[in-house]
Amino acid sequence: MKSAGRRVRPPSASREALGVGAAIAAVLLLGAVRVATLPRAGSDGAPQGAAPLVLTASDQVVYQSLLVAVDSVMSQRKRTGAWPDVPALAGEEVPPFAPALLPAAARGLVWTATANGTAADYAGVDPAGRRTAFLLRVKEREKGASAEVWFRKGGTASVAGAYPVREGWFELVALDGDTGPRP
Amino acid sequence: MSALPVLLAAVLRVGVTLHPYYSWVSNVGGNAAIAIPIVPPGADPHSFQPRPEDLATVESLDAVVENGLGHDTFLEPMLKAAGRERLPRLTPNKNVPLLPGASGGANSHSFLSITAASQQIQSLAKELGRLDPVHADLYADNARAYVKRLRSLLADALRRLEGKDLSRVRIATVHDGYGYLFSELGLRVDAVVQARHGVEPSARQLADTIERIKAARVNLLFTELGLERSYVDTIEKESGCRLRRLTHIAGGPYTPERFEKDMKANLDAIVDGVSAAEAGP
Repeated sequence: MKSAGRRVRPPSASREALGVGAAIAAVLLLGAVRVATLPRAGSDGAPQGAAPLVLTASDQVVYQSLLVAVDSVMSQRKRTGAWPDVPALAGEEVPPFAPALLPAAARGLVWTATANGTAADYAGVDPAGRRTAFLLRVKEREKGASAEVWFRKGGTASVAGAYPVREGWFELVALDGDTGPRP
Repeated sequence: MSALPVLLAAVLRVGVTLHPYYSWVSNVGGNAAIAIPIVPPGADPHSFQPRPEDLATVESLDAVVENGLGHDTFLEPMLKAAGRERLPRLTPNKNVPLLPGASGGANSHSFLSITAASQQIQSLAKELGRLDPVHADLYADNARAYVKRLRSLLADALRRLEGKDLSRVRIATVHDGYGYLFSELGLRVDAVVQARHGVEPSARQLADTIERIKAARVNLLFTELGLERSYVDTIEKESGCRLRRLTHIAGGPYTPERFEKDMKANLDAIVDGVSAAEAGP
């Protein structure tokens, strides 16, 4: 279901940082350097202007699988010293990189990994540009890691760059049903 | 409340409010943390009334795992009564994408899913590691092995559903607690015919349920273990749809294996039911 008012019942509920995205985009016109300092969906749990979003059941599965996959990414990173590539994660049967671990409707994205020092991007796009695209961005921290999941509804065949919001992507943050953000 | 490191005499005593959490803590905790049920075996968490000895159990804990979404509303009054308001809470539901509940708020049954459970088990391991840094690696390793085993259950079910014509299957459940599980299997629930579990229907409600099943053209209904047999039989006879039974893993004994065993039974029941419904009358 499309959401003019963005207040619809899901198969799943998540938060789309729509308003935050718009705010960041506006600031980007003034200077991209400030992006790193801006509060973003997920960093403080309650970004202003964020709007509830309906995820399809398939997108919900991919989203949650990515959240679970972070542990496997960091485990391999710790074990080998390198960021795991997609075949390595698929080899460990980690969804969504191992499509057999997804329901049929959630398959079909082509996953690529791009590592850059202490961060790695795992992007899943539909070559035809129709399916919702996802980006898992994992950043190594002094203790553990942080992770963001971004998505682009409506699809794109292009992998997101350094500033996904500038390219129409939105960060997803788990939402407490239809009751708003959790503390 | 944030989980700050605690001084440990020996083994971490972690209270749990639900059966799945018992299994999770047992599997993640190994020899370093033990799960302590707050609700006695056989008691229903939906209607649990604590006894004095249950308060004594709470007093002995180092931390407690809470659902926090309406499944363990008895916990806060218990902690207050036991003078343990400051007991560290482990909240595995934090950051889990939740479905809306049938009566507003979030669907509290996020433990009834392999993927959502995996996320929560990982979260639990991290929180235990913060409480007990000495064993943080143990918790992480145990969680990883546990999640891998759970994932194999899901993989097996997905493999058996492969190639099924799901357009021939219309599913209803007797409550909305299984939404997470059906979703990760790529199955849609077309109707929920009774929004609250554990509620005995009147004759009129039963007739209404049957009408709703017929109206939704449901050919596969998932009921619950423990539901009144005559109620289930009547639905099956009058609606003509196939019935299979699921469990939401409440009541009965607490065991480390319980979650895996019951989730496997749920997955088997779903695959079996879908296969039968897809094959036709």
